[in-house]
Amino acid sequence: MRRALRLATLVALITSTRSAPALAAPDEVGAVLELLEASRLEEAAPLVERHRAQPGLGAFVAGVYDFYRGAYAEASAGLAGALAEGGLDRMSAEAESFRKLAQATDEVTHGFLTARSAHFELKAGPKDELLMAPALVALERALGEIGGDLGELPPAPIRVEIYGDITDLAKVSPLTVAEIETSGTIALCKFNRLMATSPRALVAGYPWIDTLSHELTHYLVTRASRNTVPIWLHEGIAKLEETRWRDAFGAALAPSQEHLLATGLRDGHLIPFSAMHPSMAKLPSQEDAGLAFAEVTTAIQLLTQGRGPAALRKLIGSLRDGSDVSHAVAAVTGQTLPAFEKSWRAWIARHGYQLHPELGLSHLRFRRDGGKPGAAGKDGKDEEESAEHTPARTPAELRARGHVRLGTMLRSRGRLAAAAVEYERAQAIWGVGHPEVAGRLGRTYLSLKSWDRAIAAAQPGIARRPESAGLRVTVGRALLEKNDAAGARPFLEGALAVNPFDPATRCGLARVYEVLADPRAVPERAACTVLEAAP
Amino acid sequence: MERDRAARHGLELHLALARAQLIALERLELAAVGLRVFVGTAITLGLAAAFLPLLDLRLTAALATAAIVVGLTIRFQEARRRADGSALASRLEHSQPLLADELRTMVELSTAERAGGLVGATAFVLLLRERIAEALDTTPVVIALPLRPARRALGRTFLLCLLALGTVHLLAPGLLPGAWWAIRRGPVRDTSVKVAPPIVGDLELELHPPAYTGLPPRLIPASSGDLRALRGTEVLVRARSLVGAVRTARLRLEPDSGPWQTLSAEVERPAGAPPSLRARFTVDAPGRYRYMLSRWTGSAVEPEGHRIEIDPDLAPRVEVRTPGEPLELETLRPVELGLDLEDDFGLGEIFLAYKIGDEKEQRLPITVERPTPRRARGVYLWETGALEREHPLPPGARISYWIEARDNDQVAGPKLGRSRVFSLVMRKTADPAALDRADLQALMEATLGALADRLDGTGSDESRHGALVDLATRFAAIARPTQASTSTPALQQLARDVGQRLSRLSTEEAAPAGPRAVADKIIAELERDVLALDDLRGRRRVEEMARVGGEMKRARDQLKRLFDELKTATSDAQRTALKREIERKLIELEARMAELRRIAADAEGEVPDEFLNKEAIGKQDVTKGVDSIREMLERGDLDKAMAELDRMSRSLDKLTSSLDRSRSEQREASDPAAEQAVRALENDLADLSREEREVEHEAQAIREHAAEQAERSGGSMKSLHDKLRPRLAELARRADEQARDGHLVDREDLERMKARANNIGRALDAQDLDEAQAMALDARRLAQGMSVQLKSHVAEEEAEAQARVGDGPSPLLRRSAERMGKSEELAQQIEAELQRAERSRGSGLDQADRERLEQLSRRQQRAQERAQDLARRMSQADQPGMSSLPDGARREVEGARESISESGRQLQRSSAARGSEQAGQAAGKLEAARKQISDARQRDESEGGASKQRDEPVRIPEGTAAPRAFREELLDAMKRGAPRRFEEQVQRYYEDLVR
Repeated sequence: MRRALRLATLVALITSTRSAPALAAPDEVGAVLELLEASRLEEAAPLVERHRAQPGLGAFVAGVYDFYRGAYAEASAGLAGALAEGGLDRMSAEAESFRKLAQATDEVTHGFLTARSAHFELKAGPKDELLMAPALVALERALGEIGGDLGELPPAPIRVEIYGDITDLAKVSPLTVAEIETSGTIALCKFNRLMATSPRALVAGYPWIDTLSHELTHYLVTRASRNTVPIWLHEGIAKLEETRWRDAFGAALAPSQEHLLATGLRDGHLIPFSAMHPSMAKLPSQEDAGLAFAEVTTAIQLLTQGRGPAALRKLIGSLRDGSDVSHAVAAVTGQTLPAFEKSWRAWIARHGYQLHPELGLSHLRFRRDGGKPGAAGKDGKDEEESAEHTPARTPAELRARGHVRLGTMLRSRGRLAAAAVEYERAQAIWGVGHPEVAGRLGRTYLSLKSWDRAIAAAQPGIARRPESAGLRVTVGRALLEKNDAAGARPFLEGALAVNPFDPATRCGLARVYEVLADPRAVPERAACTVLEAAP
Repeated sequence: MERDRAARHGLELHLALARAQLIALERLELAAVGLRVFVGTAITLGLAAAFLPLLDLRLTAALATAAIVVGLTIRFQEARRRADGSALASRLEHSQPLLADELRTMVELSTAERAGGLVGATAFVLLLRERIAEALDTTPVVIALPLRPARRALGRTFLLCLLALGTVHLLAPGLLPGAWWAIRRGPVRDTSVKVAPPIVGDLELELHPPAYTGLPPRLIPASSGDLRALRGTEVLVRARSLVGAVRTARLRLEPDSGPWQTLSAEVERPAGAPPSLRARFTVDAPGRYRYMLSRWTGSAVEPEGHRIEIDPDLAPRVEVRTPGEPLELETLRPVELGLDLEDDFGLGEIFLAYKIGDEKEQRLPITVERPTPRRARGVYLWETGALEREHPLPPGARISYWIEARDNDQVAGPKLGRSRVFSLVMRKTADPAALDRADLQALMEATLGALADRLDGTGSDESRHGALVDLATRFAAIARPTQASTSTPALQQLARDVGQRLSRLSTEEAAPAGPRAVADKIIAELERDVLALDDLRGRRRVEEMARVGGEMKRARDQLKRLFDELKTATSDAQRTALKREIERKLIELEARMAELRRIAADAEGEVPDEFLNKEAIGKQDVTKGVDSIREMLERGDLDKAMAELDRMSRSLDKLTSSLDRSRSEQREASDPAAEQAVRALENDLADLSREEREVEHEAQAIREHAAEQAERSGGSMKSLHDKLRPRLAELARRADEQARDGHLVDREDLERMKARANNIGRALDAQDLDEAQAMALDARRLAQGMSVQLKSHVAEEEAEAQARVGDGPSPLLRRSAERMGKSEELAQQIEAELQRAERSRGSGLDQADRERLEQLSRRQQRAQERAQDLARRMSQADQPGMSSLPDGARREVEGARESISESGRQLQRSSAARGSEQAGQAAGKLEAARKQISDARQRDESEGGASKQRDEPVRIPEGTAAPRAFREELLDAMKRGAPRRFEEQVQRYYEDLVR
């Protein structure tokens, strides 16, 4: 929706310059920009090329087009020329803004490596080379699934850029570092490309392949709908589709989202769809934003319930054809939007979502040291350490936390058996799979070479915290030690989707692929070697 | 011839012996006479001292003594002379009757022979001498005089004298000491009035006090001419001649010391009336003045001069209340000083004077609120940070400080009043984190090792038991008092508790039941101990970070101040010095940031990440900011440098507040129950305090309403003043008398007592009973103080006299003590009268007021129960969080409970004023208790560095403030304004008050 507004502004500005000696037809300029915003560059290209040689607006539009197609240096120079030529009047500020953005992007992406697959062109810095191959594999798989669901297969290449840290993301996008940190925005789909921050920039990595898939969904929805889908539907569809690269259509909510929704229902505090307009980022807190995401996900679940992905295609088609949201929803569900919202509220109330207070709201923790490949979330430690001293709610919880703290101290001193006893005591209080103990106990048993115990401790935790790479690595490694390479593969691949810089994951995967004679064994082994050699 | 020589020799020997005895006898008799005369004289002098006060007893005693000595000497000389002649012979006649005639003849002849008057009787003399010699040879005769009776007589006389003296002393105990005192004192001035005809009459004085006093001129009609005035007062003396026509007139000034001065006087000669005289002079010194008249028939001088007394212009009185004495600070923080200054005519400049160690004194002009030109009161916030402008103050540095104020005396020059000297001491602070670090680490490792061994079964039972015993010993060693300097009390306490528990468990483990029985208990204990050590270690780290954060903030504040000064600096030298100072602070800021990073890095693994604030620390780009400031300063762009400093400040504020937040969150995480209990207690204290403030204000409103009602009934103050007038005048008179009698008490106190007596009258004229009460209270305290002082002098001197080391209290001292005792009684009566009036003013309460007071009283009963409950909760040391409460807070709550109870009683008695005051005090104490608890939490048992607290001013504790005086209420009333119908009177009163 932000994009829609921005486009509307641009069009308005262009229209207001009609009296100026325009060298390009204003209607055509507006149409070009609309097409660019809808990521339909192939349609915009003939119009742009027709006016490229014309100074002023022609040069401006050509510059923007170049920026959208990834020719940053040319875009920067072209926009600078357009500005120098003059005649842009009130468009000058916009042109200058694009010029700066193009220049900054050119600087940031300078020296980036490029990897290509059938449909994607991925650019990333040399330090992120290790994630390029798995990223392309996952993206191709995601495009196949999501493209199929939405009925959209864009022409190649779909451009993807991965930045080393959030300051680079801030430079190449309209977001500031502060906005990125507070909103937790780590990736976005804009300017006809997918942009994401490397998992290297975060302390414990993050589900980066899910995120890329999420942004890919936005890209496809934007293209398919010609940028007519409102933000809440956009986000709902993207959230539902983001796991399609690994799961079947209609995956359940993550436990942390389920907790937010259950809390909202309990407290009678749900975010109306109308309040999500114009942007989720405008919501007052991260909790509200998280709740809104959970809500729209379930709304799309309801919308597609029994109808499958076809409902999405129908919805997007209606919107693309000019229906408003209410009619589009009615076309799918037979209910107007208010009626649908009411049905949805009743549906989620009946659903019986569970509270998971032990999970809380997951906050992304960014690295400030620039990060070293392989250091992030090594051994899963960082993702759990912080929870030890948050205020305990009950004496039992306080006791359990004490045992965890003792276990951690003993473990750090190499007293693994003693540490395991303390963790077991905490687990006895909290129950198996508790996020604060599952990983620690699993890793301790892993170190003690008690493979079955490691699996028994860590595996139940994955259901509660699917985004945890540590738990998956622990189970994967334990299974591998038990010579169950096939069993280990999904866990290690899951870990790779969160933290591709963990040597345990990459080396484990290399072993799995070698055992299974998978051709990815070679690049994984190479990645393993690189990470193990890293200081 | 030969026989004659032998006879002569023997006889002379006998006679010489007899002569010596005779002289001894005379001495004894003379001593007895002397004793009798002395005693008689002493008694006579005593009587004279008692009944003839003007007699110069010293001279009398001297004359009497001289007369006695001369008389006795003459008599003794006479006795000696007689011992050579007839007296000796006569005495020998009595002692040697057989040879009496021969001896007498022989003595007489011998005397004549020595005188050369014996001619032709030589043969007879020879013969007689031989005969006597023979007689003496044949009959051994001893020539002896009776000494014993004389000795006995002397003894009897002595006893009789003692008896006489004792009797006199019993009958009139003061008689003899009085005589002795009178002799020592010397002559008494003759104060008898010499009756001489006056030469002037109808004296009228017009006094024009110096302009600086603001006092109006004063006319004293029909005066005796005696005056008491401030130095610099212009006096116009009008008089009428009583001796008819006057040619010229002059006025002679006769200062007590210094030359006399003669001034001309004007003479007016109205027709048909005696001449009138006018003279002017300026009061400069105590003394006298008198008119000198020249007539055609000669001159006349007034026989008696008119007394000039100097009314002193006292130095300002300066009272200061401080947060503590000596005030100990870890770091320099703003210090609150409560000031109350008063001068009799007007205050001039006020200074804060201080001295760092032996350095030169510094003076800082300060501004304090001045409700009237004579008074200044309020709170001054001393920014002590400026003390470190030159160099940082080392621990232990002592700063002496005091307040000085000058008055506005333009005649003798401003006089300086000083408060007493206070001290501020930089406390030597030990960093608790540094103190505990090594011990904590060692204990932690040992305890974890012992725990791990037991959890994973490493070693044998014996070795594990040995490790447990060793561990108990290690804890006990840390807990020993000798370790006080190397570990904090918190660690010592922890070590003591753990050591005792482990020791007990190790004993149980060694028992025959064996290790199995206590295995679980020991593991549980070791787990608990490790967590306690870990918690303390984490707290120390976070506190350390908060401390450094606070130091950075202070450096930043100092930088801001320096920038402000730099902006207004007027000289290059000043600018250079300030820039140097700024550079020092910038370096300090960088160093502190580096320290913070180091601590955060060291603490990794010891403290959970969320308490380390790694992100907030990471965002602090102090070096970049400091470099920018340096660069801008270099370029001379002060505004940009300050803007950069502001940017850094905001970021720093975020960091320090997040560090402080971490500390509180960490505390909550480690002991949520205690944290919640203390927080609940703080809330309850705040609620009760708020309620007490409400009661205070409501009762105050009722009181004001009642006062207004009473004032409407009118006239009561005037009649009260009329009633008290004689007593007030008496009190003032006694102060004057005492001042004249000498300096047995502080003259300033006497002046104040007199001023208070006068002010009571003024306050009553202005219908202000509160002020009158305040003044009466003051006057009573002053009189009481002086009376006690004098009485103790009397008692001391009496004790000395009894111990025979002194002469006992002088009559003057006795008189002064008695006078002050009566003054005290007088002041008490005045005070009681005013209190009665206050109570009767309560009758201004209408029914609604009484009901409201009744309600308030019931409310106070409930509040008292709540206070009691709070006190009970706070005393339960075994409850979570209660053991760490400061004792001071408990005392404050107990005090508040008593004040609430008293407030309830007073309200019950319809005393709104006292009820309100007590409620106010209760509120203050509760607030103080809450603050102490809050501060203690911030400080973490006075060990941690609380950056928030360090930035806050050191305030004067509520409890140390004097109970709110009525005078303060007067000032408040001034601000509120007076009821319309009394506006004029009040205005007059204030004008008079400020003169």
